Amino acid sequence: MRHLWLLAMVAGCGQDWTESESSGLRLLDTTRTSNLNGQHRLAFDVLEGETAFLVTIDPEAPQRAVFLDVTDSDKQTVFDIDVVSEAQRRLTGGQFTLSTVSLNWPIREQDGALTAGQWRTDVGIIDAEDLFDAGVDSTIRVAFKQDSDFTAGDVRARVVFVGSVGEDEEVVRATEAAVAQWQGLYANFGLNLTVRFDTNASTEPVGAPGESSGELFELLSSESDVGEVTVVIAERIADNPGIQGFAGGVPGPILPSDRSVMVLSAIDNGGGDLLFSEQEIVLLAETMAHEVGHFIGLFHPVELTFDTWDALDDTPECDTQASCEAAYSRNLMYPVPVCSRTACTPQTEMTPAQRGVMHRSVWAN
Amino acid sequence: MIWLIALLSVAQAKPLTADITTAFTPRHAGADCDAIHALGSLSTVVPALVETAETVTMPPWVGTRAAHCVSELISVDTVAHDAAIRWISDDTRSGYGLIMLDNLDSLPPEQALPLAQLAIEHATTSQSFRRYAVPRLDRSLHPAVRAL
Repeated sequence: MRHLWLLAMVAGCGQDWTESESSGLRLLDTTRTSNLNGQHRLAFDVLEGETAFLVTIDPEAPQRAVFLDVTDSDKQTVFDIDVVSEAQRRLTGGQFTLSTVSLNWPIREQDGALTAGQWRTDVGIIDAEDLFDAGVDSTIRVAFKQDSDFTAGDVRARVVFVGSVGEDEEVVRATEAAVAQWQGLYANFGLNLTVRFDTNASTEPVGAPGESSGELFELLSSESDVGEVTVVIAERIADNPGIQGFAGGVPGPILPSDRSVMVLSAIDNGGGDLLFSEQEIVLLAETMAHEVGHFIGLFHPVELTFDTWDALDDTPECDTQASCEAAYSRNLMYPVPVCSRTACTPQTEMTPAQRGVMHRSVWAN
Repeated sequence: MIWLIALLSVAQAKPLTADITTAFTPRHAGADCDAIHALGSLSTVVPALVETAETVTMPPWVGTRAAHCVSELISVDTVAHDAAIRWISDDTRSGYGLIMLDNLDSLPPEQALPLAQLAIEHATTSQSFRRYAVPRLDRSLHPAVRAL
């Protein structure tokens, strides 16, 4: 009897993963039901040579999830939601309660190297009243990469033209030109970007990831390879008029979901004439690089309230528009392009710590 | 006298266009039209929105966000209505024209139908505009618009 009880405990601790490999990543997949505390307690083994993992939790709608803690193979807590929240710094989208939530580890150099052995994470499942919810099923994936060089890596993207934009030669021309510039931008950060193009014939208006068009985004992301960022080019982001780009997560989910895409609005990036000038193509390239920067794991160095910052050591904590523009007018992840009425300052730079976040991400392998 | 009124109108609009441009430049801000409309009266805000859309070219989403806010005022303001007519008909403002069509369903049929007819006319001469405009009209909640 005691043996049976112990066996059930082991299964409950996370041994019921399905293991596979895809695109150079080791994958663990499972479905879990939240326990009486409204949490998933996950345990998984990190193997020798693995240097980063990305966990994605996709609970049944309308419930949401948030990472509460991460414990390493030495049983040390390396991520604690209370500590991160108190610091008022944005470290990972995993610290926020979302319909699909992901956490990459490590994120920064000071997070240390991944160690082989059993790691654990507790994930809260949250209902509409912001309470922990028991008995909720979630789809879960952990992806591991073996990438010992955090100064060079590959990013793969699949750009999908949805609906009429795929037949619009001007949008296709501008997108291809912008992708070439985006590749140049990422090359400066040690990232080799490969992009393939695709189309989808859906005629329905496209919404924002996590807010609408969920079935379409889940389908499109399932058609991409594992570890390949899905970039959607739509006419507009219908439920967020005027938004020119929208990433589904920071970092993005590693399994197909309604958030597993980055969406760009052709009209809002092309302007009033539906034609892309050279300057607009430059800005489109920066927008692609910026939004996929979010998807890989980067936050803005400062939010526009000037009282919320990322958790990186080399992004200064400015607190006024003037001081922030002085610090970041050329930074790719600054939330505002610095423009006159007819031209913008190129935003092509990233700090070493920002580059480090990208290279530690499983999205850059 | 007309010249003076026009000059005053422009003089009033200038600071507002700067405020609007600043508000609409951030990447993820969207078009918070309520905040913009609260910057002044319709007689000052709408011309400033139109001027912003027609003169601020970078970043391009400043103009599209301004156009979106204009689209929300078509039924209550003649300057917004006139801008909608102009943009739906003008091939160099096709993007703004489509944004006007995105708001067609919020208009009463007697306002929506003439704008839709202008869009059909424009679509006969511009394949680019037709590609995006016709599906919008086909999806309209107004039966008369769908029937065009």
